[in-house]
Amino acid sequence: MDRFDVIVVGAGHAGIEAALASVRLGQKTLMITTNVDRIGYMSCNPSIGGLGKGHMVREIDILGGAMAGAADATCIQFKRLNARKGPAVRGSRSQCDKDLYCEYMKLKLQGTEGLTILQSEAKSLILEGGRCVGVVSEEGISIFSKAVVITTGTFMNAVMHIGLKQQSGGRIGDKATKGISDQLKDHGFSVTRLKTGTPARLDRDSIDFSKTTPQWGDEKFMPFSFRSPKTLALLQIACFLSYTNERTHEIIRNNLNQSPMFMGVIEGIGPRYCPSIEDKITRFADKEQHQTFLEPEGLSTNSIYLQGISTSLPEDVQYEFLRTIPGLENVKMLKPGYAVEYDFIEPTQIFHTLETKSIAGLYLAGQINGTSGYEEAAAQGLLAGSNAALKILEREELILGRDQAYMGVMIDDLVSKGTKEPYRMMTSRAEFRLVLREDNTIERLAEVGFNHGLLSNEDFDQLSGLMSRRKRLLETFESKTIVPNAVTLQKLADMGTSVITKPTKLSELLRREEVSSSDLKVFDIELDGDEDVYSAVEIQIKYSGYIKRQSEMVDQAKRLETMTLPVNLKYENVRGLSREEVEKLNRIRPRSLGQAQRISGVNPSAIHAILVFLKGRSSMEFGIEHAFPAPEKSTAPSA
Amino acid sequence: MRSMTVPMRPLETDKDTICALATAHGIGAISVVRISGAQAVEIVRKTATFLPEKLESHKIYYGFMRTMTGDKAVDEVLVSYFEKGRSFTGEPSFEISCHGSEILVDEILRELVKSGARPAERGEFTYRAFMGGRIDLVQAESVLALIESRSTRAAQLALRQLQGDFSKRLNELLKQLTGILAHLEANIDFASEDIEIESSRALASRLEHVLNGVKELSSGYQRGKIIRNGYQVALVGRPNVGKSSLLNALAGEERAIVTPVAGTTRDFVEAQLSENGLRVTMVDTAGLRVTDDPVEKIGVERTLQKIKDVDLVFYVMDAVEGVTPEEREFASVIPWDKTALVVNKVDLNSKWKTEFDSLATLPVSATTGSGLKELRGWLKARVGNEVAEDSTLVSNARHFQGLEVLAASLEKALPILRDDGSPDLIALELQSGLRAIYEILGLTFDDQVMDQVFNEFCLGK
Repeated sequence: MDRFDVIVVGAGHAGIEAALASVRLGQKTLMITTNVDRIGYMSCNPSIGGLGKGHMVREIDILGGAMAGAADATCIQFKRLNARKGPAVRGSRSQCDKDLYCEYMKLKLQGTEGLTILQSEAKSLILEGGRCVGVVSEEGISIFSKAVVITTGTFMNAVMHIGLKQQSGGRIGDKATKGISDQLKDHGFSVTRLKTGTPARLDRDSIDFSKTTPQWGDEKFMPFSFRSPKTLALLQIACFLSYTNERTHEIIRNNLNQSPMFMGVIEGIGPRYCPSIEDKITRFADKEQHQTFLEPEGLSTNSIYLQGISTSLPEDVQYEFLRTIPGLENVKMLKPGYAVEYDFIEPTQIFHTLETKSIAGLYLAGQINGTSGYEEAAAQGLLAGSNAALKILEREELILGRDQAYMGVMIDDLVSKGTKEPYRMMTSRAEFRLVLREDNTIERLAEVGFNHGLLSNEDFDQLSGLMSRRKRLLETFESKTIVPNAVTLQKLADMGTSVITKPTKLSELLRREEVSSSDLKVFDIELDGDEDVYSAVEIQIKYSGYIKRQSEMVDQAKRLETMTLPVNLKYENVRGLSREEVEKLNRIRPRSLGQAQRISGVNPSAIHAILVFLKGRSSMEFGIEHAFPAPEKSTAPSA
Repeated sequence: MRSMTVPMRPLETDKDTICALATAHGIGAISVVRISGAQAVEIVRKTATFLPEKLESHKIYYGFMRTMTGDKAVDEVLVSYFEKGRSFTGEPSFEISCHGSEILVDEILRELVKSGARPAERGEFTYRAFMGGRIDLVQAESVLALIESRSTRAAQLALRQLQGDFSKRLNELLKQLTGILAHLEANIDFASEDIEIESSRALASRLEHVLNGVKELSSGYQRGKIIRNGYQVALVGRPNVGKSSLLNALAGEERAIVTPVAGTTRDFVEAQLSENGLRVTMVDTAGLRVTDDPVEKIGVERTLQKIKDVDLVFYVMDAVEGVTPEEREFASVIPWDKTALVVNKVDLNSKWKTEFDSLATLPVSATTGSGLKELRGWLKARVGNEVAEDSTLVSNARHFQGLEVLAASLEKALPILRDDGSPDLIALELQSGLRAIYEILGLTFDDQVMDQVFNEFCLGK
């Protein structure tokens, strides 16, 4: 075997982005996967995006990733969630044709120069003096590299549960991978179990759709990628809504003794936002029905994904309760639902670069870090692949702030707090949500992407052009003033908005709810007709008050974020920390005081203590106001 | 957050074991010396040789303390031991009760220092308790307030805060606010799921309830401030109406210089009274008159400033001379809504008249003492009214400011919520509100909202 710069183990959503980023940064890259036909496979639901997740897909795109383009090209239903709510919480979701999605990714990788794909299994890591310098394949061949990115998803020591039956495997039809997680455990890593589940796949021909309600996507398509055409390539399909009922619940309740979750067979913790149907009817016993969407997995397949009904009950019980759901009276399953338990590496053991703390050159990305979801995985893959390459190149690492990207929020959450359940991105995880919008992704990240070498000159020029057009339009709205004369007042009346009584800037007018930017054309301005331009500017103006306040919060928080902590700080020397705090701080080794504050179990007083420690004897100014007066005389009464 | 300069304790001295007199300086029946720190046991043993080999926490040991060299006994003492994790600071601690003599206390402290302890800085025991996570910020502040309290009511208030009553109220508000936010967040992140989110109207009424709670807390601030700092009454009037004589008559001692020369009182003279368990400070002020004397002019200006700061003004007038034309010049600067009229020298003119029928009017004679009892009675009732509400919890300016920030953000959120506006905009306001509470309590924002979302809603895609 040749010598590689970067080896990526795994070809799921994380592996793809890791490999592509590494290649983009000029690294000779090897991808190892146990099944080349399952590159970029969507193991669970058939869609990309959603709230927080859709934001990340756009971020991945601006950082040169592939997921956005694939989701656009294979979209069979597009939806903009929360379209009528505020600008920060609108999120795009694209239901995709699963087979075409795989095909797209496979072609993309195969057409990438500098990338080699090998069908094999990485059995172990080659470690040399605390560094990872390659992997050993299942054939026993040692393959050397300067860095290794592990993206094995749910496959490490994976066990599938259907009822009380168990079998080794990470996905129906694919075997589990063994070796690496045990090796990491031996090396001192904390490796624990998580659980996830998936619903049954149903045969389209066995479903009576007349008993369900069809759900169509949006008319208007807003591609994730700035490179994608604005029109949909594929035929758009409907999903179908149906509900469980009391009979369904009764059958499930009567069979809980065959549920591996309830019988304690599964030790891993499952996701709270995606509970199994067993979980739902137990925890929310008074709910009479639960909705389920029947989602086609593609244009040329009969497979229907049964959203909301993930289960690990035995196959016969699944049949029994499914057939109580309207439309599914005679349903046939193509695959039963099942639960998967797998190893994950407690993510507080990695740096923000996704490199492990104890083994240099080893990067982890995706579900191995305790996340769930394709988008979360892809985002990590991109960052891990980039950072592996950047380190080899001895260039500045790629770390995104919490005020900069959802990706930054996710990584910081993982490495600071760890996770007890599969971690899913949600907008509420971002404390600076109003500045992390889909519409300003380019402003947030284009320069970062370009400076780190992830965007080509051509791409960056295109994005810069868009940004300067937005800026120009914003300036137009902010500089043009209208006066309350007869002509103006008539125009305002035509617009259906109230009069003005003093000279008014167009931007002020645009802040009115009923006024849109296209209305302002009547005031003789040059309006950029590109929606990518005017809609972003409109949001920026309409919500400027809120955005400004959020930006102030960002600035306040920056104070602690910019106080960096020495990596080798020995927290046992900091007076006033509890043993638990010392242990956590020593393990997580936060980059900044801000990050230290986010570590759960580290009290505010500890932040104070660290500040005191760092500043030593000198008196200083800092913002934690408290009640301790300056010393007066040494033997004064004390409390 | 405002920032202030605080003393940074150097690392190595933070490891020290500290000692200090815990009771007041001066002569009393007993004094208590406190010791806290990792080496406390070792240090105390050097002089309290009577301590048994195995110490039990929260036990009192009796014996004679000796000098380090052991050549003489210092005092007969009671030593209480508090083990690590069960003391105020969280560190191993002792309290030594000795006889109340400054000389004895100094000697004990000297011996402790010779044995390895360091004299504590002011507030250092509380500081350690806070650093050790034993108390929250509000409680730390209340410990200091308790020590500094100068009346029974102030002490009670501080004690209530120390026991966590204020923190408890804040935590209730926190919980309610978190509940509302959970609904808003669920409405954002799980909009497409069939979960039942409360209507905007229902949430708005919940939010209004929280806002009322906040307002109730902060409305107690004026009272709380009075309880903590005492009640201030200014004696104001033109020169020579007998303000100083009145002050002295009330204080029962010659606090102000009383002379027949007008304009004698150029600085403030104060007398302390106690009413309803509160400290009442009577402030004598320079007489108000139009003057060319630069020194007296300054006095008049200072009086006008003082009038603004006090809680109550006694406007003193002369029963014999009545209201003079010069006096009327000052009528516009008197805050009449917090003013009562005191008519002095009624012994010299029983047919006195005022022109202020709407004001509370108190006829007195500082010379004969007539009417003074009634004035005290009136003052007592007035002070009692001001602080009648016993549930007052807020007396600290920092807490008050935090509550103001909280109220302001809730007030901004409410109309958006009523208009069924976007949840992210409402959430922004509520989050600033939550942050204000976290800041008062010295906590920071964490995942509480999401935890509540998962507890309340059945979610699952």
